[in-house]
Amino acid sequence: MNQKPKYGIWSNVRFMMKNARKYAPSVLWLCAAFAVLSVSIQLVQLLVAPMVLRKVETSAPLGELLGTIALFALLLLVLNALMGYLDENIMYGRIEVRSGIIKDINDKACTTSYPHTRHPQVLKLQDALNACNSNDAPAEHIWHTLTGVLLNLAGLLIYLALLSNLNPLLLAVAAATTVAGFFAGKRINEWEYRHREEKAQYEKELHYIRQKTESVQLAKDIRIFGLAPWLNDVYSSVRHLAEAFVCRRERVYTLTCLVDAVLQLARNGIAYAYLIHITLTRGLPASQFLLYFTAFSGFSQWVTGLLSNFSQLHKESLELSRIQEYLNLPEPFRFSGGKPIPKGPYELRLEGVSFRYPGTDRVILRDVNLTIRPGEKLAIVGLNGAGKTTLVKLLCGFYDPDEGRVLLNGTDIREFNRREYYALFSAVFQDMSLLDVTVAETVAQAVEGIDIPRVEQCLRKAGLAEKIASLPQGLSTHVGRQVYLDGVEFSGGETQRLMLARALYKDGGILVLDEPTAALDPLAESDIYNKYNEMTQGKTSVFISHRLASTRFCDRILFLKDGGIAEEGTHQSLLDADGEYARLFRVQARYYQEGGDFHGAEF
Amino acid sequence: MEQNSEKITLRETWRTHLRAYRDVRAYCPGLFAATALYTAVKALSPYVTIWLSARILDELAAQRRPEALWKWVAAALIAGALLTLTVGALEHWVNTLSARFTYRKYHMLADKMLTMDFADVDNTRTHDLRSQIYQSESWAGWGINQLYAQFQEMTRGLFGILGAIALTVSLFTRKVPETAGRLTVLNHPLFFAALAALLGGITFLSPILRNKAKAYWASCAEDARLGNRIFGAFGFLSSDQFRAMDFRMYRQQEICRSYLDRDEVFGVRGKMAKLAHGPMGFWAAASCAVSVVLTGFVYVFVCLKAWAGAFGVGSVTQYVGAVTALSGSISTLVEAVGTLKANVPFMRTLYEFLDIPNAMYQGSLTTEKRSDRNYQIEFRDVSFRYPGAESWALRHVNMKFRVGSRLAIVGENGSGKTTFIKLLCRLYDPQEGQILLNGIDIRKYNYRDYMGVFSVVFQDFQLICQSLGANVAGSAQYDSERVKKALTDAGFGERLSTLEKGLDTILYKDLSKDGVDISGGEAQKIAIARALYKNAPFIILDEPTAALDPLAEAEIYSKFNEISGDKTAIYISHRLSSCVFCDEIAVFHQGQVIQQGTHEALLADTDGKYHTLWTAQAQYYTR
Repeated sequence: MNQKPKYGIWSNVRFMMKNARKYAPSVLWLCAAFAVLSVSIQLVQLLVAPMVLRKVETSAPLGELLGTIALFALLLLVLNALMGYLDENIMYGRIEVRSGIIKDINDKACTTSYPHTRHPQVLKLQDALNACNSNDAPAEHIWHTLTGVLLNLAGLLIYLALLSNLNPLLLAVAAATTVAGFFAGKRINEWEYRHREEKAQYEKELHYIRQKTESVQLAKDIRIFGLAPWLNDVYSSVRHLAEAFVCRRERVYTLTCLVDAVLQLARNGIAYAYLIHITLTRGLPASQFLLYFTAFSGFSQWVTGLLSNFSQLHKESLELSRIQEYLNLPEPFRFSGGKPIPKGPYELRLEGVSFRYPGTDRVILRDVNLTIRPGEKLAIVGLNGAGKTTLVKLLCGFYDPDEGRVLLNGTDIREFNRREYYALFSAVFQDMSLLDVTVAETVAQAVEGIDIPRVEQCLRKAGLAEKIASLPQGLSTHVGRQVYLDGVEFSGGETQRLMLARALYKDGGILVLDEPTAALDPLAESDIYNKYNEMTQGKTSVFISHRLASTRFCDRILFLKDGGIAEEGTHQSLLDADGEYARLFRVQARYYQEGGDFHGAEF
Repeated sequence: MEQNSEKITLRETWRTHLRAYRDVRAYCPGLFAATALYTAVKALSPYVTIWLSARILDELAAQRRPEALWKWVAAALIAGALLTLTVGALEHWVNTLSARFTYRKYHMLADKMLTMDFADVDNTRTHDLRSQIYQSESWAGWGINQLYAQFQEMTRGLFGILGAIALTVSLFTRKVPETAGRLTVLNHPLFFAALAALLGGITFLSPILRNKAKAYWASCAEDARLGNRIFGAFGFLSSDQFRAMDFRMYRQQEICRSYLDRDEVFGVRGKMAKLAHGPMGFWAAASCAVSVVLTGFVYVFVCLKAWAGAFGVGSVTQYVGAVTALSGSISTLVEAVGTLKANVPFMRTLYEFLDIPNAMYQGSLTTEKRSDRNYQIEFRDVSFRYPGAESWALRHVNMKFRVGSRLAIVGENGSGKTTFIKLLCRLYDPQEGQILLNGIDIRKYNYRDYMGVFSVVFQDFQLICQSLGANVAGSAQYDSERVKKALTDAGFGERLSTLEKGLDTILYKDLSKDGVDISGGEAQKIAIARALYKNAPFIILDEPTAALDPLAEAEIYSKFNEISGDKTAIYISHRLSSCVFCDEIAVFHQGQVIQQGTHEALLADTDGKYHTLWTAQAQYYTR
């Protein structure tokens, strides 16, 4: 937060105006109209009492008195009605603009170069979304602030004109006490900002423990192990800390009341003294005194309003700056132009590839050379942490290697538009993203132009056709219940099949499957293996597993160890070589073979 | 959900909120008293200012005696400063209490989740109620928050009315002098009645109009909640790191965008905006305008009286101020009652959730602590289906198992394996049949006692971001020697010795920078240690090796005998290799136990399901 923001207040205001013009231009003139109406109402209200009193005081003819009242009443009536109408309508455009910005940020976040999604500094910027997450967040509230600036500025100028007959020293005193009060208050109220980390920690802990106590998964453990009292205690102790924090904060804030009271006493004291003095000496009517005194109080309100609006604007600008910074973040990957993607079949090659994750020291892959021939079925096996998933990430173009190159049909993939490169892959990763959309949309990954017969065919291949047919809404069933309450939760195994169907529908030239059967029962697993040949027809494919035997239907098996290719060959040749692969295979196979006895297992 | 506001009676409004009032007072004492005091002082303080200013003006309009003037000025200044100070101090006190209220309210909801039957936790209806409660609250503060907000409004209105009446009485008691001629007619009580009628009419009309506008909001509640869910689900997905790869491969942002674009409840082209252009905006405008009419008439009446000489100009400001404030205060009160009425459907949801009964029958028998661990379990014709489901998850299950034995449960996905465990542990009760422990229906045992018989490591077990020791013991106080032993037995010993803070190590980095990240395999070992620490006669492992590589898997297998010791162990797995070292195997298929026996016996039945399952997997492991 101490970093100087990249974009200043004016740049951020311009940015918001640009978005307003793009998404809901009415926002701008509604702000202006609101400010004009507010000032008008305040002005009429300021004038009504003194003007009417004047008529009473001077015993003006009755008709004049009634006429004045009627005029003011009519004015106020019209202004108030307009204001009521405007107020009811002002929110929608603002929400539209904020939603527009959220969509833009989301687009950027979902397409930005993959390493950005793990980059701490970029992630901090991505918190830009926080600036959009509610009606009070800067991306919406700024309109309120800007209206306030406009309104307070106009009010201040008008009141200055009204009070121009008075000693300017009086106004100077009013302004000075108001400003002093404002900054003293601000300083005191920054207590929370100074303790923001402490507060954030409590909030985080509260959120966490609440989530845990309400989690359905944990509910089983809670009941079996009687965890409820413990969780309740943890909850209570965190809650007490948070409550004590608020108590401390409010105690400090009470100080501002003292400052306010003293300054108010000084300001009003001077005003009364001066105004009564001139009323008496110059023989002004009581109504004139009333006008002056009300205007004087109003004047300091405008000053306070303006100050707090500017301070608000400054705060909001800091957050808006992050939105701009994020949206304008330069991309290390090529996302436009680039060489045309060649026609399949595809050959993938790693040339002297070394890699470690940004910001870490551990080398994950070291000088890996590998060629995956067009149409080849490659399996990658190894223990957890051997680098299997990392290798796949490099092949898929999620990271660029630190050293060496990744080549598609002989061309460095950095030369292609990365988005077009991604289009080549049909992939099922362990980390998967399931959206709360319909089954058909999930498989087709589109909302329009879905080829329904093909969706059905892919679901059949993935072994999910029966399940989908059994659902009352069939392909239109929503996946998950987060958004649509009539949606269906799929089990782990069903989800994996759904992901497989999605990959088949995409029909990319390269198929990548990362542990696609971990959650499946033996029959389903075997079913997928049997269909593997059919699925990979005409494609280059990579299959990752730590179930060694499951990879036997592949043309070639790579055994990864410590960031390098330790062994490679067919299942049979690797067993014959009697190396590491063979040893691990025996560990797994032991139980399945006649006379297997695990007690004698050697590792 | 019931959204039809016509069916809500004042009586229900009153009773629901009275109940909520008592509930809140119980877990947040002092909140209402402090708030009432604060709103009273705050509501009355403007009248003090109005009255004192009127005295100054009166003096200025009439005799202009300096000593009287300065007396009133001094009073106004001191009163002003004291009131600012008092109101401010009270406000901060109330802030403290209302923050406490918010925190405790969430705790109360969480506590309900902790104490209700598991069947209800797992029920989608509960889930719906809970998300409705949270969504309604975050959408417009509906629910129990409204009770507190409207309590504030009502006390504000009430004290506002009292103060205003106090300042208005003399408007009618001070008469126009006889010298004013025809205007003495203003002294007629009819004017009092007329003004009161006008005041009453407009005061009630304004909030009625406003509530008419507000009612459109309630009519959009369902759309609004869906809209908020869509936004919450599709607008912020990019923060889920695990989605990043699929997003790029499948261009999921395009789907998100089209869902977001379709959802325009709150947008400029949405339903709400259209209503705001039309009737909603009209009613809001009318409600704002109508109150001005009152101000106009009050001015006329008060000024005429002053003009006729009933009182000075200073009093004009006092009366106009007081009467308009009176109207405003009555409006506040009426509007608060209207809001509470609109709040009733949300309170119904809240109390439907809080009133979910603990329906599980609680027996009183204690399970005997048998040192010989001689327990027998029998399923007698047990059938079960999940609430709301049409098909049976388990159907006519009959089985018995020997104590001290190792039982493996296998079967395809969805064949009822995990459901079997859930029934055994009484997370659910079966609809038909009985489960017997030592010949007695398990429902007859005291629930907590019965729970003491089982240790389960579920497939989706969870550990908490608290100390390692507390996680194993399930409590902040624990016997550290036993915890260490359990961890060592579960194979976590080596890792434990590398942890600087030992059992005090905080797991995961979610909450603390000093936390330690643990791998899936290590978490599994800790979960097993938790099961061992409990030292229950039954230990159940549900798919413990799915996330493990071959070496880690083999390690768990090899320890299995050791781990289970003299306990009865039940083991669920897709990896049939685990069956080999179990004494007995039960094969589930479509909710029934279709085979039971030893590995060898079952494998010998080449037509059996077990043989099919076994060969499906084993074929890849034969040379």
